[in-house]
Amino acid sequence: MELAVLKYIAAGLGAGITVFGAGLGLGKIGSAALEGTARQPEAGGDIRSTMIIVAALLEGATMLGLVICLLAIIM
Amino acid sequence: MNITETISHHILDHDWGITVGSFHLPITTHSVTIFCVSVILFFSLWWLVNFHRGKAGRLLTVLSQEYVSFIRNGLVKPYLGEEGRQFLPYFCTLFIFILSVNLAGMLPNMKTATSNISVTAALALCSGGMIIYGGLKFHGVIGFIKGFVPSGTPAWLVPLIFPLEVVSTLIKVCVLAIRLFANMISGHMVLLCLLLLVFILGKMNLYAGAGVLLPAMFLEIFMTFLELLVAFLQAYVFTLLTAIFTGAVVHTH
Repeated sequence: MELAVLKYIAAGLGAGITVFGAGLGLGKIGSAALEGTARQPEAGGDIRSTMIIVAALLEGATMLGLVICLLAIIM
Repeated sequence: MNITETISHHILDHDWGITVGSFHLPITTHSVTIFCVSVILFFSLWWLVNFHRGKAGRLLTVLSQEYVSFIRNGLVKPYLGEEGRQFLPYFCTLFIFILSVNLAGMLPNMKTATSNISVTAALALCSGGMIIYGGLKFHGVIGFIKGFVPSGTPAWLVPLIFPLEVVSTLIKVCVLAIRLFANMISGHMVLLCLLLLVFILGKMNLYAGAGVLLPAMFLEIFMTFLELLVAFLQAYVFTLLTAIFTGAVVHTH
């Protein structure tokens, strides 16, 4: 298989595994936030803000992987 | 319809530069966008400072006071403490600049300047400079270098920890740039690819294109709302992380 074909396979696999990791992580964040809000509904606003911030940081890590996959195709 | 041309026209940068002999001044669409946003922000704030007597001026004054309180209580006070008040103008400017540039990309026919790695790298370099400046100002050069290693480590561990901490700080600054860049460009790319999906399928089979039109349009509307949310969120996360890193450097002892 030439390089031009392997590039696309590698990028696709990389993107899939990255999204898999992000899905797992975000699911854990969401579940912890829901559990915390269920235990103490008054802290709902604080928990929601923390959840959104942590989700944005996790998305940052995901996008790093995605950028590397895009670089694999373009270069 | 040429797909490469469409993508390169909508997402990438165009250079309308001025070339005089061998000197090339690059004036690109993204730099023009940043310039226009900065000019609009500057003149609206100048108007607010000088003409804040009327009704609109009073409303905007209250809004800007709320905004500065939000940045100060939420970002500067928890992470930088009382001596961090000198950094407050930088964080206010950073947040509203990134927010304005991100939102300007959502207007029709305008480009998102922060979807260019050069722009986000420049912003991350400014934040990195702020981190180093904070460290140097509060602890001096020797204290800044000694601050990388926590104060209780045994001597044989220092050659391992010191390079790790230095590289970690540099990587954190780079990841700031890449996070903003990737979030902004991925939003626009998904929007564009959904549109192109309709055309590509339509070329293969007319009914396939017509069938995928409605779901693609609903997904587009949803993605537009998501992009608006991401614009606010990424501006906030950039400012928050800069505040956290500056606080970590200022408060090591």
